[in-house]
Amino acid sequence: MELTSIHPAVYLLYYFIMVLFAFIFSDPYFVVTFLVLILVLISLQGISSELKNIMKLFIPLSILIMILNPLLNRTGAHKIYLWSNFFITYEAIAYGILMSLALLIVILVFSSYNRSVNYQEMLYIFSKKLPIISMIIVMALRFIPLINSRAIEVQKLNNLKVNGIDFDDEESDETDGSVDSKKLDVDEFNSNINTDYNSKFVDKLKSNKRIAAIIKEAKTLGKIMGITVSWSLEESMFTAKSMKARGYNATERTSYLSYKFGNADYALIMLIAITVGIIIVGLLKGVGMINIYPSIDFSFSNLPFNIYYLAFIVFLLPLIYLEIKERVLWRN
Amino acid sequence: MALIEFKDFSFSYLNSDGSESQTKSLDSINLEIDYGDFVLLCGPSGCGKTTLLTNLKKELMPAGRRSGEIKFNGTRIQDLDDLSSACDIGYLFQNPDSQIVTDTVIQEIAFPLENIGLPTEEIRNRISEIVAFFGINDILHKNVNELSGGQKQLVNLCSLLVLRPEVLLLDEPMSQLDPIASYEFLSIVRRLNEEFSITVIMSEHKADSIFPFIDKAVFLKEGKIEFVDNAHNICSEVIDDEIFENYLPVVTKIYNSLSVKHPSLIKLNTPLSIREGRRCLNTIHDDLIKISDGADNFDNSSSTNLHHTSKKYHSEEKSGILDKISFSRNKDALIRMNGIYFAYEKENLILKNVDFDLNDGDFVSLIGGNGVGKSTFLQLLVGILKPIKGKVKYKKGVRLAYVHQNPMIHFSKDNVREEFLESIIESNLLNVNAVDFSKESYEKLLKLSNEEFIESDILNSLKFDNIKFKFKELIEFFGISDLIDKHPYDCSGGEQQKIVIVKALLQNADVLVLDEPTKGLDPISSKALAEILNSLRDNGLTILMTSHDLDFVANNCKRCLMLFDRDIQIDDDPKVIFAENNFYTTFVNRMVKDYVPEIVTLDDLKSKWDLD
Repeated sequence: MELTSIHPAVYLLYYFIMVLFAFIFSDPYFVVTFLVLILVLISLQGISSELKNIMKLFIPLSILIMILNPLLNRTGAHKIYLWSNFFITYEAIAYGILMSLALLIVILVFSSYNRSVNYQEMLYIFSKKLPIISMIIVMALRFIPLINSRAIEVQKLNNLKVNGIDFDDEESDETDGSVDSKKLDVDEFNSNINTDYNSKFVDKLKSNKRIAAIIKEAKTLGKIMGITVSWSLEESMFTAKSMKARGYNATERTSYLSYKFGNADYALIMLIAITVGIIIVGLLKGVGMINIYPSIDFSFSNLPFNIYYLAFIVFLLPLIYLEIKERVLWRN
Repeated sequence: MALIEFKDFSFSYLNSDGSESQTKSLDSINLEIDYGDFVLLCGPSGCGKTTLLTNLKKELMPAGRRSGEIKFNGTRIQDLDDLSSACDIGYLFQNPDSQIVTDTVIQEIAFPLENIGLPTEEIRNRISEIVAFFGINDILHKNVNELSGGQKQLVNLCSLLVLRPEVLLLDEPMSQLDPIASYEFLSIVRRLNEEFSITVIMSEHKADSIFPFIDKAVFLKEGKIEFVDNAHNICSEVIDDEIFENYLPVVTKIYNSLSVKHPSLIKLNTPLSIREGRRCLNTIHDDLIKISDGADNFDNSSSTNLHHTSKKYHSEEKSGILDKISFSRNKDALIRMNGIYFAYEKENLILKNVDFDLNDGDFVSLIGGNGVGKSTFLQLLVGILKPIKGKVKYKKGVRLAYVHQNPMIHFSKDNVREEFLESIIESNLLNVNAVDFSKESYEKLLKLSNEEFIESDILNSLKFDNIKFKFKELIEFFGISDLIDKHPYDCSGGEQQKIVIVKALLQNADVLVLDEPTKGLDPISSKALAEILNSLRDNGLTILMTSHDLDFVANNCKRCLMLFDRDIQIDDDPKVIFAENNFYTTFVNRMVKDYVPEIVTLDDLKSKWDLD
């Protein structure tokens, strides 16, 4: 959202409650409502590539949960016999489905949180209480892509060394092979690594072609990492000097980030307080939760049209409302 | 009272074992720097420029023994309190990448302000001010990874300036930048100096564009100040100095040579910029016309005619270029690129339908602006990157050696000796030369002393295919005998460059591919590198390199490719290219364009005008 600014602390509170609710509610009507609304929100916010990747992993996982739970969990009153005396229970199926839905909702909530609050706003929340940790996070955010790009450069060079160049004509391959057998193994001559393990076991392992290949791979990876790390350490000396030169540690740090509490924040907090209050009352009365084990007490005809369900929907709506409003504003 | 005062200051580093080094890194320095001065520090690598600069900054003072004192505003540097030292003295390092601490531009600029504990409101005020002055609004919220080298260095400078320093210490800030980014950076530094009277102390090797506006030049050699004076005077003082003569702007060098023959010039002020230089030449306009034409008539085969013929040849070649590509491409080319397409991302083609032949014995250089794909071209050529479409064909058995922009990433061992041995073992030379080599002999080699190692029989019995040198001669030719037992990281940039090239040669390479070997080299190392490359080429090695140093290219290469708009735009003799260019050309050519447009190098000019 560009046109409404909401204080990161409010966001944090809101999403935190959402995650709690995802775990608490087990009434299928509530769960499905939750899922639908969060899907709407996500689609309005835009689906990130990370979410797509997570979903690729999640879908097989949820199917696995749904299949495995009934197979492993035999508790429950309603038995369904598949053949002779092998049975699964209706409760276990329901529980498996609800579990994977809850997991899906949590993932979606986190993904939506990522869209709403960028990491700088996150830092702002932490920087007041944990200034050192937030500084370390910032430096890590700079350092990890840097070390990654360095590793790529080193690996490129290594590719040249290992593969050499491929000549077009096929004859050269044969000659290469014969040369290879005579070629000295560079790793044998390395004072950094102790290669004097002359045990029979190691020799046996080495004689296996696949294991030998794995060992070689591990060695090259180690070498690449070694070069990358020593390069990075060398460079980080300058980073440290540059930090010192610019007065790091001279006095207590402050932060340039500032977010003001605005009307939107107060309104959102009010809304959260009221709806959550109502929902909690409902939860205490048992609305929104169902018992699954030992015997499921839910029937689809039992529609949850009451004030608690309404409050639950209203609780989930504000961000969707703001997203839609923003679209309308842009169009004008 | 001067702003900075060196009083008989000496400094020596500690050795690695904690004892004091015998050689003084700085030796009785006496120097005064006034408010608002622009001071240039020059000298070969290792002469103490960085040591001098770091001693001015309390936080960066190296460990060692110092005598004498340095005063800043009347207080000793050591006695400055933390805050004022951090704020008043700004220090910029060479490498733009390694001094960035955080991940977004605005965060980086805010970093020092957060450090000194300013309130949020004040921090934002200062950032907004500096952003307006530098005009970097567009990149303010960008991730630093997305910036070019020049932009990064600019952000680093901003990050110093928000502290409102009185002095800027710049340690070769432009050595990692391309020429265009360098000009931009320099013009901003100059503005800061002129409009805000910020004192600037800058060390730099390529002083051509800095000389015109400095107040003081300090020439250091082995820790001692050899010359210190204003720009005009120092030029006449160091004419005969073997080392420092190299640091003068080309304009001044031409003037100095000319004034021997034309005494009338001596009365004029020494020119420092092309503008002043052209004015000087104007005063002896007629004479110059005469010697330029005279030489023409006198000697038909002189370079002028050569230029005309080559120009003609050039245009003929252009008309026949299609035939050349399709029918008569050199069959014996070592490497041949056919219709190469390459992109890192789908939308953004970097190379488009590039054809290129690398012939045996070529000394080719690749020039072009930043980000035009020079490094990518090299990496495609050596096969590190695979083209999306098109094919790179290699002559059977050709061996390539590739030297990365950053020589550091070629090192994985504890000392140079092991690095060399690794290359030799990899090269298969030991087999070819039927040398009996085992683990014992390897360990024996490691234990030998420096001299014994260089003269050892095993290594000296190796015969390289392309170069006539024996191992010992090779090491001595590169002048790196003293480095054998050093850790590669402890060597200077120029030395690392040499070690990597030797490593490449020990792998028995036929083609040497160098990415920006001239980056950050001082003029003397640059000359030495040119000599080395030239004699390697004479030995039969094929060399391909990228460079931003047009003088280096013009002086040494025989063939020059200019990359532009995803293709090789020009492929010709660099002298012809630069003679035809107006803006993208050498300083010499810009200076004498009116008289002898075909001359692009100082040596050619001297022989043309018969100067010494």
